[in-house]
Amino acid sequence: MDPRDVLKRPVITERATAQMEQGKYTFEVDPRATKIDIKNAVETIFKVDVLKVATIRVPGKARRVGRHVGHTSPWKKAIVTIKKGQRIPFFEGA
Amino acid sequence: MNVRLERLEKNKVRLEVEVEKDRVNAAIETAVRSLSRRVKVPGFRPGRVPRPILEARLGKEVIYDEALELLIPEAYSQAVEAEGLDPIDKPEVEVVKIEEDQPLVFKATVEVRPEVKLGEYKGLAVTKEKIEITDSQVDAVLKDLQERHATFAASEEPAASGDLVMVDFTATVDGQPFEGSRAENMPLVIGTPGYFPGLSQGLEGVRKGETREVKVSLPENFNVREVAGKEAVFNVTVKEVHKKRLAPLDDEFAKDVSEFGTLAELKENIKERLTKAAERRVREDMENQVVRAAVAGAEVDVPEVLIARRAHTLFHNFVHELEHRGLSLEKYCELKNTTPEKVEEEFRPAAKEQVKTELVLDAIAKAEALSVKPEKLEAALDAMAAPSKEPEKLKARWAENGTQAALERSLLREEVVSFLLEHAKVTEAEPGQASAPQGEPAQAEEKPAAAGGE
Repeated sequence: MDPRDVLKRPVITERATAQMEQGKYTFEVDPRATKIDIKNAVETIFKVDVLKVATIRVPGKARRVGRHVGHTSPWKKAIVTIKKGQRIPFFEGA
Repeated sequence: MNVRLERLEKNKVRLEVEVEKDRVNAAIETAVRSLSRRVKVPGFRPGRVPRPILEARLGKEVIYDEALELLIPEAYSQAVEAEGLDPIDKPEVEVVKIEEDQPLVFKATVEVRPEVKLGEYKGLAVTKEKIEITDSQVDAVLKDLQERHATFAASEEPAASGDLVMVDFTATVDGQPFEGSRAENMPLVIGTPGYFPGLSQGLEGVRKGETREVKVSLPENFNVREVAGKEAVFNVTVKEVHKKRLAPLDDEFAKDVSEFGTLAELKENIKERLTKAAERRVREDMENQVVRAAVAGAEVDVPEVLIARRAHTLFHNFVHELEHRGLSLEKYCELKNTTPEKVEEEFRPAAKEQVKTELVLDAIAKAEALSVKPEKLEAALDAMAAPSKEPEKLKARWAENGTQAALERSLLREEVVSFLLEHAKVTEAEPGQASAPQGEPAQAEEKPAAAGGE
């Protein structure tokens, strides 16, 4: 996969922000991307060394609007651990 | 903290304040914390938003503004205190520079209490009107009492001035009745104006049972528009005549109308009351004289803000008073052919005089180190709070909201007036010779109506 299609956006939450201190950066990624794809994408785009990639499939959740039951889209989350001392600066669009 | 003071024209002062960077950083941190609590960012609980996220979302300026809000009032009031200034208006603040890890620099321009160049205020010449209560003044009061306690008794005699008659009447203008032209059993006191001016005068000398025709010119401002200013013919039947009977002036009378047992005592008391009233008037008059003289001798550049503010207050009170009399401001303006702005404008001279008076009195208080005794202030507060259910609570609130301070100021001004009077050169004058326009200048009420409402 092309590295630019793999990473969709950074996940910016309390938890994700807290984990950055340990060099763990969280992204929403294409559900079809593998850990290898993700590692390659992060390394080429941000020029850092990836030590570990953990992925989670986040299930779509049921949401109701009045009488109608729907659901949010399922997505894939990747927590990327990078080499100590390196940083990914991404606060552009929260 | 570093403060540079620059005096500008007309009682204006510019402060250039530099605040240490430690304080700036602390303020920024506090600002971030408080913003973090208020701003909603998805993914974060309130108060947990980290600073970089806030900055990205809101921009640095918002954080700085928040920090300034914390910093400037504090630094400003410290600077004012350090320089011993007495501002009378809100400052105009201009931030020169704010940045993290850098000292904050801002400029504040503010109008301060003007310097008062006091003229001579000790030994001012004052004329004191001699108080003389004559017997005729006492008699006038007695006579008034007598009138008020008069009794009426039914009689067959002709009615004289002051007597009460009960009448039926029908009236016509040009042969036509009008609104209110019929009445039965209407009481009239002979010789008083009443509703139909001239009617009761025309009935002088009537007897019970008599019918008389009276011509009355209805006034121009008569209630019933159609007949105002016209001549009405009243056909009056007198049903009863009650003669007025004045009680004779004796000890019995004194007992009836007062708590005194004898006429002599009542007279004495009246004289005393008149004397007290006159003394009060004379004292007020003398106070006005010294205050006016002291103010006239002083030079003050009365600040525009204070004049405008006071004029506004006066205007406000005036509107209130109008409404109290059942007249709206719009209506008043229509009648006087003016605008609210012009009305307020007309209060400016009075406002200026009042402000100047206060500035001068305050300056004298300062020069003479006069002060209000705490007991006196306390007593005044107690008196003011007494009607309330919870006087202590009320007093606590006054201490907070400035009412107490305002009261203290006005008491202090009274002290100054007393001081001026103590040091004045008093010459006695015959009654009626002292200059005596009424009204304390500090509260002089000049209505636009009086000032000519053009």
